[in-house]
Amino acid sequence: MKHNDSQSLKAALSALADNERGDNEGMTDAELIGLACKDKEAMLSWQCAHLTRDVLQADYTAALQPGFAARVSAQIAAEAPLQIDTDYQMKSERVVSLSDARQRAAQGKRARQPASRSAVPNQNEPFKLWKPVAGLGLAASLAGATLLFSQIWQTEKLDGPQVAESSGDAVTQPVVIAETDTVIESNDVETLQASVHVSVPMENRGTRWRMDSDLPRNEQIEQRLNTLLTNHLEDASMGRVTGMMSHSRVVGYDSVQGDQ
Amino acid sequence: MSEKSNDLILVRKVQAGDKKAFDLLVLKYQHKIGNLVSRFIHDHHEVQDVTQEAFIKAYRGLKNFRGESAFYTWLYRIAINTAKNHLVSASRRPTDGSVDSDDAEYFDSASGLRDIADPYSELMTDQIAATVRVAINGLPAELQAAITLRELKGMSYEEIAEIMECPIGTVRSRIFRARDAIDKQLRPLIDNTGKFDATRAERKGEQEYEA
Repeated sequence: MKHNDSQSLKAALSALADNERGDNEGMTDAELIGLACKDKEAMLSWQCAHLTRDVLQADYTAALQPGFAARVSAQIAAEAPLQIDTDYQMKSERVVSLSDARQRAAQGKRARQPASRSAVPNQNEPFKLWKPVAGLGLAASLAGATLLFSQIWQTEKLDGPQVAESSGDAVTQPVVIAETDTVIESNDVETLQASVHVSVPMENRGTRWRMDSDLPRNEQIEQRLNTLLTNHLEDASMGRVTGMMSHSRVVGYDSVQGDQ
Repeated sequence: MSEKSNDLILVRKVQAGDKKAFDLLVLKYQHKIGNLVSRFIHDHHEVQDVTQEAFIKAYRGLKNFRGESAFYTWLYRIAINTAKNHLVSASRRPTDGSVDSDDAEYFDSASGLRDIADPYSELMTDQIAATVRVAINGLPAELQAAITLRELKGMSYEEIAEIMECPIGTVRSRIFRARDAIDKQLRPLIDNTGKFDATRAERKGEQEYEA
């Protein structure tokens, strides 16, 4: 190597030791390091630069005997070489150069991007992709489960006992009032009066609490419902909790009072 | 370019099979790691062995190093664990002066080493330190200021340029020239294999004493 080349290599290494190399240096840091690794003079310059630093920063120690690095090097030479495919890592490493930082500072932009983070490859990235996928899957399964349960609940609601109808509009389907295996469909209220199982077209019945005066009430159901509502209110008040259904409370009490 | 990415380039080269790149890392960190180990172990020869073992372990472990932490932090952790394991295997408790890897780089490394060094190492330390100081004192004022601000104060080239009121390129040139001058003084003490030449050091010491 010519003297000038050797001096320029040393100068570049000096800047590299201070992490002050720019982008337009003719060769990349990796290339420079590659050259230095093959050049004994460059290696010695590197050693002297760090020796000087260690002395000035009081890191230089008498604990290590002369030739320590050479002994380690000899032992490393006997080791099997590491051969990891680092090409993708080197390509993905975005090294933020000093000139970039200066340019950003000059432009008044915030140069506080986590350079070290971006410069460091994260080999866990493929696994990190699973996080949103897993999240989506979880959300989808939850939504599916919610739909399924709501449908089951709706079905049970329709199949189960009904204590009140929502409106008296044109709903002609029979409504089961109490638990039963047999649904009796009939418009003849008279014949069903004594029966617990009543199915009456809605248009003839009005609302649950405002039945037409000519329609009979099922007293057994009325009593049972009122008892339930009253018990609920009493239990709630004992626990210093307001009843859960204030509307039902009013109706229940009215109904009880009406019965009395 | 950060220190982290600087080391990372070397690490990637080692991982790609370039063992010489690891030599550069050893040259860079050998004394820092030696100091760290000497906080735990007070026998001069054991410090050597454990430091060497730490570097070998680091080399072997580099295949698993992913660059998520700084290389020196990772290396310090290996050195601390190696030192502690050495004490455990020797049925000794870690000393009170143990250092956590987080603050390992900040401790005052010069203290406590004189007790463990042998005369030969002491001679080497004194001679190299004296050579560096003499070389710096003999530099022109602007080179001396530039290298001192950089190495002692840890300033960037930009900060030094502001203080010295000169372009960054000039700072870079001055620091290189200062290093080159120190290099020339140190070279005779270090032979081509990186070993310290004690005979030359003694001769140089005698010359300085006579002067």
